[in-house]
Amino acid sequence: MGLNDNQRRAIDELYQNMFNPLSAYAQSALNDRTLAEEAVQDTFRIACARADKLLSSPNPKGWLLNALKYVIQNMVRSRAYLNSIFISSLDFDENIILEEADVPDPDVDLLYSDLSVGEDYKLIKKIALDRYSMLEAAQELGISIEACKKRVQRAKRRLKKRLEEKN
Amino acid sequence: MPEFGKNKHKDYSAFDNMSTEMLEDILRADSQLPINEDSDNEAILYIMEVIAKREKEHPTGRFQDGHQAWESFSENYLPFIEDDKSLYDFEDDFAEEQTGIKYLPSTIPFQSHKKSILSRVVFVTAAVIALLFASTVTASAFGFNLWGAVAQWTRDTFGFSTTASISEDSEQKDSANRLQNELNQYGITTALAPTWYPDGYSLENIDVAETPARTTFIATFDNNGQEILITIVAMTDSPNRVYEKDGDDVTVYSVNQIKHYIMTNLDNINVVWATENYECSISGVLSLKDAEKMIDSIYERNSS
Repeated sequence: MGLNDNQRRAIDELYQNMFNPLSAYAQSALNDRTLAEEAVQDTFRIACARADKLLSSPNPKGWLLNALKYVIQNMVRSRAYLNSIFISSLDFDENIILEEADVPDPDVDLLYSDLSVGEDYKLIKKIALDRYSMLEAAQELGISIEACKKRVQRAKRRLKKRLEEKN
Repeated sequence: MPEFGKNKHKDYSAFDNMSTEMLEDILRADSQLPINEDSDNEAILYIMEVIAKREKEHPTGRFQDGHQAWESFSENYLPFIEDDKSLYDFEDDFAEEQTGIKYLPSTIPFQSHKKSILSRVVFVTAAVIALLFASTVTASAFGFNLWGAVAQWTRDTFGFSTTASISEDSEQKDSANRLQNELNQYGITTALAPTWYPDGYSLENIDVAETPARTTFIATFDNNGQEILITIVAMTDSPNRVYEKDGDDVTVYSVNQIKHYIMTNLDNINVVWATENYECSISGVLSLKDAEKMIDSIYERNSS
């Protein structure tokens, strides 16, 4: 499913006009420039995927704003959820008060060192604890964001299974 | 003035005079609304464009360069448009049932709700800020950080507690008295609400927002899309206010030994005054004569 020339031209124009205004919204919402930028890029990616819907909208700018709001909400809650299940999966001493910044990398890595999918857990850690954007994580691994999303998805499934087994 | 909203019936020009920080507070408050909550997207888009325009005129580096952003988009995101879900939307996710996450729906309609909580927030904020900053009344001259108070107020928007909807058939006089009646229900007997409004205006609704520090009443009077907003903020403590004007476009209109500051901003008139522990304002497209008549009507009940 690609874009035809007219769709590409129209979305290009919207991008030029709306990238900064949408960034203003995303930065206010997320208080993080990198994540805000990813939210806006993801919004335009979805806009391209649904170009027919966007361009037939009586107000494409309003459509983009609503899409951005959904993206932001997904991003915030999913990252919080990833963080939550990741932390829950750590078998820390109950007396240790866990702070994001206090999680010692070697401990986390050691904890999962017996898993064949250690790289995936490192990926989750980067997203959940280190506040990497999906693109940053993908670039560090030398993979596409599509592959990165799938890896996060797979790793999350494994985390879930691990949690269920633990309980 | 940003392009968006030019042809809209609402005048968002008050946002042009707000600080960027204040505008960001409004965007932040909007982003924290539940996804299905009413939001005035026209106003939000206008604010976004005000911020973007300022950045273009006075770059601070807060936004990525547009060309670089497009290159990154083309290289990293555009190849991935087969998936029309958010990057953080995992299809097999079990998060939704556990966390209540609502994922991107199949359609994303443009919502423009004429009356919404946010519109109350942004317009009242606009009214208050406009009278502080679009005029020559300086914030520092108020003797307390009203700017900060307003910013804090926007963070308290979740405190909106009640809304009284008024039928369009209500008689104008009855409409006018409703606001004071609402105040009375909160134990506020001080004369604060006008009892006279220009022809055609009738009360549309009253929003009441309660926080530990203040109770804010926002009454909207409508006349075929033209609005007059009356804002009354009852403060827990009476701040030590010092009002000062340093320009010619502020008219001081004294009634009942209370100074009412009348300021014009394009076609809008903003009136602000303080009495006891109440901060009050009137905002709308009004003539000076009508504004003064509305002010007079507040105190007529006392003299009759």
